[in-house]
Amino acid sequence: MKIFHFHLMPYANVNLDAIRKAGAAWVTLSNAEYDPVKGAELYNQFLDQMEFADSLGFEGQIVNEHHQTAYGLMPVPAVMAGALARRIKGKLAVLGRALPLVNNPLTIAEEFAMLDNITRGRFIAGFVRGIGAEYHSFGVNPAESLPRFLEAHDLIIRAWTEPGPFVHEGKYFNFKYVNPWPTPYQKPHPPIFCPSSGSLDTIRWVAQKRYTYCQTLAPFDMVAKTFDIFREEALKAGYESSPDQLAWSNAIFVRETDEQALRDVRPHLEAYMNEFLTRDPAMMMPPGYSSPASIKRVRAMRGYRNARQTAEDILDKGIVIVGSPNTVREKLAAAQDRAKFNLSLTKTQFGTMPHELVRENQIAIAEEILPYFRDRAPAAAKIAAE
Amino acid sequence: MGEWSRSVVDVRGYGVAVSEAGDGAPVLLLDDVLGPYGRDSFAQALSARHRVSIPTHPGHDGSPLPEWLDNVSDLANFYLDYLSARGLRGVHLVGCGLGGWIAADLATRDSSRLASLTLVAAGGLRLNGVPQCDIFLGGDEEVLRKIIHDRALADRVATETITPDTEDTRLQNQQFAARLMWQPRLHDPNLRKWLHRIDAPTFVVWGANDALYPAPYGEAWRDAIPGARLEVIADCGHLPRVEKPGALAELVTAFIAKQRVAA
Repeated sequence: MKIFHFHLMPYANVNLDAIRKAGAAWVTLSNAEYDPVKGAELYNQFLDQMEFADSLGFEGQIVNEHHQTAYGLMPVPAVMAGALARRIKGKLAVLGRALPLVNNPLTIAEEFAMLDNITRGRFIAGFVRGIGAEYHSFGVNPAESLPRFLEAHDLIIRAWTEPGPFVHEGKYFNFKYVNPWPTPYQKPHPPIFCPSSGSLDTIRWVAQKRYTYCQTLAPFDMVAKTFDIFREEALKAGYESSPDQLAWSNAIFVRETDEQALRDVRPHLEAYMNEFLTRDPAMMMPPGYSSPASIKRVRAMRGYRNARQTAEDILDKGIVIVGSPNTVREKLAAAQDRAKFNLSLTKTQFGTMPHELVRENQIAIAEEILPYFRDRAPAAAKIAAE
Repeated sequence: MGEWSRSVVDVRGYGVAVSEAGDGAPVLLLDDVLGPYGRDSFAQALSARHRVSIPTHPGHDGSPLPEWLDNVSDLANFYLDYLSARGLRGVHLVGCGLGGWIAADLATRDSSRLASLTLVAAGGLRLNGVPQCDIFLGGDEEVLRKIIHDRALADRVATETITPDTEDTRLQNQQFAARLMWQPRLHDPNLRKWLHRIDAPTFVVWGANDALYPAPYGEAWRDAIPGARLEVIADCGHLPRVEKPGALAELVTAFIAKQRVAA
């Protein structure tokens, strides 16, 4: 299993009562709650954490994009990726840029090609639809989200693979000259990962494109089901998918004992699930963002968030893995065998978790977990048995 | 008062479902797309003296989404084609909410088949600095409470219409609303500059407590359309058809009757 280190860069100093009062950490939580002195400290701590994780042997470092929220302070992920590009030895992934939110997708083709060149091909490109709340914040029509995504994607791939200049005549984007410099270092282009909350349209499309599908935070039963659907969609598209095309986005927290781990993680995990994430379906799934069937599926997956969650609830549903080294190894191995994936996108910091605790967690994961999974693949016997 | 019949009218290859009842001068009623819809007491009252036709908007309420639907003007042109396809003239066009927006856009393009135009809480304009509630944020029930003035009525409507068996339709209708009104939000920046072209007697009806398009919007419509008259219904939000169907029916029937006398 390849275990990547994934950072959301939340505003960890946030006033949780302000989120409760606003109803969500997204869209309507006033940025008057942001203190740049604390924020500056956080940015530097988070970059330190990523460089440290790289030195500890994680497969790669992952940043992502979110807008107008305390959930993540990376509206422009390329700034963080740029800060890391020459400081880390492992892979560098932006998972991902929200294609429908931009008016010129070529800026993303340029930005990713630059990162791929600077890292000499250690870059992984992520394409996402953008989270529902961002359609409220950006004013982009969610009913156009999917066709805008598809057109932007096609344009970026063409810009990376076909010599320019060429003309792009689309419904949403029109360019007389498409001719971006630089072109990607990797040929034909960097690997493409697509994170999704489980929309059927997206799963099918990623399988058809033979890209890597990343399942965002969800109860593990739903993760396993989603990966089953992905494999079915790959078969429908005429091939057998590889476990390297499936990534589970999770969080791991390791302490000496299960009890100590639960006690130490509780406030940060509960803040993450209950305050930083929003439970408002209209905010997260605006109309038209997905087909009605997909919206109903994702609403069902998110049903677990309808009420406040305790740390125990979250662990019981297998959304994150917390415990002693032995417990974490067993749970992650069982998850890998059950859902047959080979990539773990692992957060070591989440919610309000402070810097020192993150460092201890990262060291524990590096010493106790990473070596055990380095050459581990999903148990083949289970595949044959099914 | 006759039964409501349902038929499908072919408009250049798109089969639009139309509910119809009554006898008399033709009334084309273009529905709002928010909240409950269908044959209610307002439409029933109009059908006592008129031939009332209520089409289901293409892409709305269970009807298939046509490939050509991108914006409200597409629907305005579609309903002009509908009037041609049926050979209708002397039509009293009544539009509520988004239906009013479509009706006004249609009338700026071609008023020649219209005997009159009635706009009820119509969308389509923007008045800078007049706050509007957000119909896309919050659950279905919360949205009804925002747009219906009387809280008890909003709760009753919510109980009646927000049920598991209407979930698919509600999702489709919300998607339809977003497609047409998300950006630019709730208006067409090009509509206002052509409203002077409307060449039909125009009646504007507004709820005094409309939170989506507050009362100044009614005045803006009246001022922008030559000769238009405005009537404001007290204790009424954005859905006069649901909130004050009797008062609305009386106003609209009287307005249409006056056109006939004048003609």
